[in-house]
Amino acid sequence: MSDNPLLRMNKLIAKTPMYLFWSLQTAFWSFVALISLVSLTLWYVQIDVAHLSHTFWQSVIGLVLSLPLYRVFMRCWNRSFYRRVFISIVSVLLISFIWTVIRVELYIELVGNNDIWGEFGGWFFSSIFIYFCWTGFFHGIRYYQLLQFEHKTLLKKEAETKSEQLKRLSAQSVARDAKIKMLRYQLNPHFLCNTLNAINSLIECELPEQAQLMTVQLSKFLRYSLDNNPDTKIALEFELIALNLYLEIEKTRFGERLNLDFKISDQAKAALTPSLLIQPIIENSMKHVIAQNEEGGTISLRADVVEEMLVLVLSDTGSGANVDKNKMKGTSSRGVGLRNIDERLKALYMDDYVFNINVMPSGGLETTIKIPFENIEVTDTNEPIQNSRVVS
Amino acid sequence: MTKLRTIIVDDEPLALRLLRAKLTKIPEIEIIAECKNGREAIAATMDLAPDLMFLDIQMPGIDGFGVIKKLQSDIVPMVVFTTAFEQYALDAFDVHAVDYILKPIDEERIQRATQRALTLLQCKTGEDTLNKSRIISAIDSINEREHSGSTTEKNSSLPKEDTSKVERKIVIKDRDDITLLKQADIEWVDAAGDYVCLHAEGVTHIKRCTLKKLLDDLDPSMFKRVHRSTIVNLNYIQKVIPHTKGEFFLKLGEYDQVKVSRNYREVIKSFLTDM
Repeated sequence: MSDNPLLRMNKLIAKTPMYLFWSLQTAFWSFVALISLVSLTLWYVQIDVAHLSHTFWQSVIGLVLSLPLYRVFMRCWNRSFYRRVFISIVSVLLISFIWTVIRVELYIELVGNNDIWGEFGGWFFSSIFIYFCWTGFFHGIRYYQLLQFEHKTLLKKEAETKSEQLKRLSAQSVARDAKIKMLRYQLNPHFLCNTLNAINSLIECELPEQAQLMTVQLSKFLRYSLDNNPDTKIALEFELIALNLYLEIEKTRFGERLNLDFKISDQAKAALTPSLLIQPIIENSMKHVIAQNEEGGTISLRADVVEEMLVLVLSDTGSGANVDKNKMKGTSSRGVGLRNIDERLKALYMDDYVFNINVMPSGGLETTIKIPFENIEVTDTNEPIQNSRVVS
Repeated sequence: MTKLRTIIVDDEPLALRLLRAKLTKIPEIEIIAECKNGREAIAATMDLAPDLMFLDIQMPGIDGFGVIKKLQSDIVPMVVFTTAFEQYALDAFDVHAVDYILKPIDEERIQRATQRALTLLQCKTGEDTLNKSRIISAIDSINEREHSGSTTEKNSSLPKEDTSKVERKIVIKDRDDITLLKQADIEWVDAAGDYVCLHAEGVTHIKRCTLKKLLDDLDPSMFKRVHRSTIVNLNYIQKVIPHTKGEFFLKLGEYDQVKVSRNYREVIKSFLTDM
């Protein structure tokens, strides 16, 4: 039924205020005509063309005269209350007066009764009442509409804030998921259990200093991972301190098999990097190179500032020839674990970054990251200082 | 008192030290070798024929599972895996009665593993391949879980239309892909319970099949039995290395070595004299 075109048109028209205005006007003045017909024309049994047309025309003229009144009310809508009351009363009295004069003239014209001027006061009295009624209706309807409108905007706003809240919540949960993922990646249980086993061993071998050192390194590293949000930036210098904590632990575990070759320029040390960006890449190398090679391998890191970009190049010596053929298949898929780094960089730098993974002829993996160079001094936040407190 | 001749294997020096320290406290255990990686573990096992091996799973080169796969089933000792592995893998160990110790290592668990090994040693049934077959079953179910939906090959013989026995290939269903192994590429084979391990070009293929069934498919002029459950491809023998008690090793291909038991030495001798 809702497809009924007439119904739809009705709905459409009802939405426009002009249609509402005119239909209310017609209804009101028809009602006035009806009252006049019942209480005067019929009561006094004056059922002839002259009286009926007078009843009709006086309503039409009343309607026409209400238009300037409407304009006046709309004009002074924003004035002060007393001024509005004053203007309203004066204009109602004026319009009523004009209408009464026209009605009387019309009556004389149509019916031909001349001594009607004597009853002018009575006619004027009813006119005033009709226009005051009109004024009342006007204000009532207008205020009702305003109330409705306000209610609607309020609802709309509420819905908007609700949807905004939902959006914010979902964004927060996405961020939290990312953080949890990050943490899971960071604190892989394998690393944790093996480190604890190594500490256990140091205690067994009665090397308390080394055991304590490793415990402290592990706790510092854990705290750093937990405290730092993946989307905060931190000076490379502090990131390297955390990285060293991790590498010291791994060095204790793997002994001579782990070799490091770090070259960081002074300018690069002050550059801001997303926290815990490098560590997963190093961990990847640990997993695929150091842990896979009987002879171990070397992990190198170069950091420099070139053309306002911080350039980080991480490389390792690859899995070597000693690897079981079953494992060789894994070399090509090594980059998969590093994909979320690309996602993080994209979120932070849009398209203003470079992330390259390159398998070198030696079988080693070379990861290149270029991000815009940001100095600590540039950002006004004291975050790096906070972080340094965590680290040191 | 029976002493368990034991070798311990771990790539992390500290982990190895801890294991040694814990095991020396147990009187029934005699440590005869310490190994830093899978390669050394295989060599030590062949050389010393230990009763028990504490074996790390994550190791460079050949990992713990690789060690078991590469060792011929006749000489696999009792194995206790030491691991920081995720829990899911350990269920498979439990199911197939493969002993393991979680890292960080606790003493109680070592004691338990040792006692279990002692009981096993005393009531040994003569089924030599049991050690390997249990572990291979566990490895197989771990693989299956990692690549859910895949199954190990159940029945492998090719259609009988393949007339010539010599050219018949061995079908190995590995996860989703199927490998066809040329008989000439297979260096050696050993059986472990319901499984056979086919060693070809440095890779060990696991196939669910009995040795007897596989023997029907293999060319008898190419493959000879050198141990109860071990068969070698004569074409790959590069070196014959004498060992104690009339046993000797065969060097096959580049890396692999196989032990020949006394009972089968005549087979090899006749092969060598035929040349």
